Amino acid sequence: MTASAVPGRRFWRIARKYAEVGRIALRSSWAYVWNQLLSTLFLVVVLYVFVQLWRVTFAAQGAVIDGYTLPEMIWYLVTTEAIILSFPRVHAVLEQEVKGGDLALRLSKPYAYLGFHYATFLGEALVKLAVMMLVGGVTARLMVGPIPFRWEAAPVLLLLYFTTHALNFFYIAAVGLLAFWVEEVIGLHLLFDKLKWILGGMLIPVQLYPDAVRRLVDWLPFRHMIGGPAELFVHFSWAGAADLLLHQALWLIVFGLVCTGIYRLGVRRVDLNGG
Amino acid sequence: MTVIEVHGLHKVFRVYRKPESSWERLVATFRPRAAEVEAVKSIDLAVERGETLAFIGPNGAGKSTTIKMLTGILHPTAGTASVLGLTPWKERQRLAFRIGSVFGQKSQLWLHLPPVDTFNLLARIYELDEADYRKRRAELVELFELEEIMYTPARKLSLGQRMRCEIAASLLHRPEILFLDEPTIGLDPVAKGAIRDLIRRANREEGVTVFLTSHDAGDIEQLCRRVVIINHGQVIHDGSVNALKRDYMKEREIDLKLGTPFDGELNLPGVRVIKAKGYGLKLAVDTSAAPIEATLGSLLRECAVQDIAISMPPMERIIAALYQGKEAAG
Amino acid sequence: MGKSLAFIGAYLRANLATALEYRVSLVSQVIGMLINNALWVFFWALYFSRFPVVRGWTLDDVVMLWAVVTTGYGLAVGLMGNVLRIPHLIAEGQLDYFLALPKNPLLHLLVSRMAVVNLGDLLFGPILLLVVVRPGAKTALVYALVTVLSALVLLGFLILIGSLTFFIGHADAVLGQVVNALVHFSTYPATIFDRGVRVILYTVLPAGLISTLPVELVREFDGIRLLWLAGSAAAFMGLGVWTFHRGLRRYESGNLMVMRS
Repeated sequence: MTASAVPGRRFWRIARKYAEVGRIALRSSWAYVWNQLLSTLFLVVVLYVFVQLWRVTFAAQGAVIDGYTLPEMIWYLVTTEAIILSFPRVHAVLEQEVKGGDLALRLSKPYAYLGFHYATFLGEALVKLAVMMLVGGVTARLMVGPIPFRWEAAPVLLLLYFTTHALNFFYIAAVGLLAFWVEEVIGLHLLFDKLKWILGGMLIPVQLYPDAVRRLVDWLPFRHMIGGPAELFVHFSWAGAADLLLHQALWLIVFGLVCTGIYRLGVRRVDLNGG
Repeated sequence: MTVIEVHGLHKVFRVYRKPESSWERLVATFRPRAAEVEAVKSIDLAVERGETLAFIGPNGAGKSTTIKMLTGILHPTAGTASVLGLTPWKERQRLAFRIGSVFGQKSQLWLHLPPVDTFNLLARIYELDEADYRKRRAELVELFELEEIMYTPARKLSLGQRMRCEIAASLLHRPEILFLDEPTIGLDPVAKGAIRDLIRRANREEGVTVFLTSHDAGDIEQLCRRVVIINHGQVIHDGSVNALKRDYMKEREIDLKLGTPFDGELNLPGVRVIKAKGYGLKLAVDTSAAPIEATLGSLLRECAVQDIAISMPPMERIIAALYQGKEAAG
Repeated sequence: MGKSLAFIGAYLRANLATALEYRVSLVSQVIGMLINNALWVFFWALYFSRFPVVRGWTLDDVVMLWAVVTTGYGLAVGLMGNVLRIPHLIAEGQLDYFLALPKNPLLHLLVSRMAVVNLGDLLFGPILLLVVVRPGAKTALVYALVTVLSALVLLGFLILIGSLTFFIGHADAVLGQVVNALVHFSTYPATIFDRGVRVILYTVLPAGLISTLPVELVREFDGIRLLWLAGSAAAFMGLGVWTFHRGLRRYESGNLMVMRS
């Protein structure tokens, strides 16, 4: 009579096997989580400094500045930081693949390649977003208190994160793909990234910008990539959500075309010059 | 004149055991668990000026620990050492001016710059007088035949060319002792020969004491007159290379090709099977146990020999046997 | 002294030559950093356009702050490119290379590498001064002096933190966060923080010392503040170097707190 014929014993063997797999998965993700928590320390430092800055500012100016109270200003920042910090290093990965030369061999269809990366990055980003929002939220709540939040807006906001993520992804990817032509992408990446920050309202809501800059910002996509979603989080309205979604959809089409265009051109260049 | 004198050199490391779980890691922060490892038990050594010494041993034998103590990087737990009259770990920087080192696996040359730039940098590091340095550099360039490659970025040079530059660079400040660690690793036989040639010349013409570590038996045979073998933190052999070859000349290796596969039975005095596979049979024969013609006769009678080759055992095996033999002896 | 300067000069030349071998990369990294810093200054311009004065500080002051901090960082981290890698060098045993050579190992390891990306930081201060501030000769001199002192405070602090690796092992990640925090705090005037935090920023985490104090000196040069800044520079450098050499003794005896399995 073999061991497997005894159902009880077999059950335990299988159970132990999965327990072991689970234990290993937990241990490795624990190391990852520890790293994550350490990097959220950076977020706490940033928030702390900004709370001080805005406290001082509001104390001199009054309780409300351009429709924002102090807590709302801080929660705005929590959201923009969470969105930005949740992004994995897309440009570096793409640059590596382009330089490595195997991307052209692997996938000839741009939407398949880009779509594949979008999906992978989205998974990681969602986890990071959750962590950042949690840590940032707790910090903000401790330092400036909560803001009124409509929970029915949550699903809409989550949907908007997907589109926001897509917009940011194509933007970063387009720069990363310039690796087909440029030796070092990091310089360009920093440039486009900081441009997005400033013109997108990363640190201050764009309402506070001087008029001339505000008018420029209205024409550009950056607001819809960072500031817009953050503004909605703090001051939710269905009209606002619809407006943002519309703008994002429009720019998504533009970015998507540009990105796939760059990809196609780049791949062809590789084919012409040889691997 | 003795340039290196070592008595009872002893080094114990405290090695901290890596914590396995988070709990252990927490405990370890307050009370780390340590074990003591005796890397070097007791070493006595004396090296004369101008000697060419091979300092070899299996990995983990305590070689690099000993060298680090001789160059002043590590402090011993006990014992004394005197290198060029200085205590290495007490007068490290003073000693550094008078010794040189070449590491086969780690380059001193700046990869993106031509060798001449590294030479100029070394001149600053060793505080060489400008006129002196230029003369010396020209000497070495001629000796090592570096004219054509001095101005090419190092990364574009072949490994052999780079090693020539490395050794030249290590001689710029006229060191009295040259420590070499695997200088010919990765080189083709021709390049190896060229490098060994250059080291020999440096030794002969400038009296540089050569202290070589290498796993390449050819390096030892062709470069060194003396060999010191270290294992388990102790010197297990110290003698001339020639004596080593002579003592083990008693061994012969016999390579046989048989007509029928070997059946595993061979009972001849002094004969040991090294390898038996299919129709091939490799034997080690100790000619002091029985004269070679008797052994050969027995082999030809007992086996269906189709082809035969007799050779002296390679240096590697001699050394490996030494590592193991001495180990067995205690 | 002369020999040390010649030695440092030789290394700077060699490092620069290496960087120039990859000209495109060098230029793009430098420009990238310049733009990165410029956009932060632009942010402050936006902020101050709305709120002209913050705790007695104006846009001019913040611009000067950025000029001091970026160039100071470029001097300390860009030119002494190995300073942030001290924990790595110690843990990987790469100090042996420097120990075998006849130069002070700390100095040697610091100058033997340049962090090219921070050369943009180094240039940013002078560029800001030339383009935006356009100071008189006196102000420019004071700027140069306080920037060097600020760089020394930073350098000493980084050496100190890095040398802790000799004693507590591979605390790379935590150290990285400390440095990040320091850098971040130093890009804001310390006046916006409350007293308790300010004490920290002027002592243990010297962000105030490397940013706010120098700017105050540029605004109004007085002997006491200068003494304070110079004294801090000496103190941090002294502490850093001392800690490194104490740690080196442990390293040489081979008893590092390195976790080996």
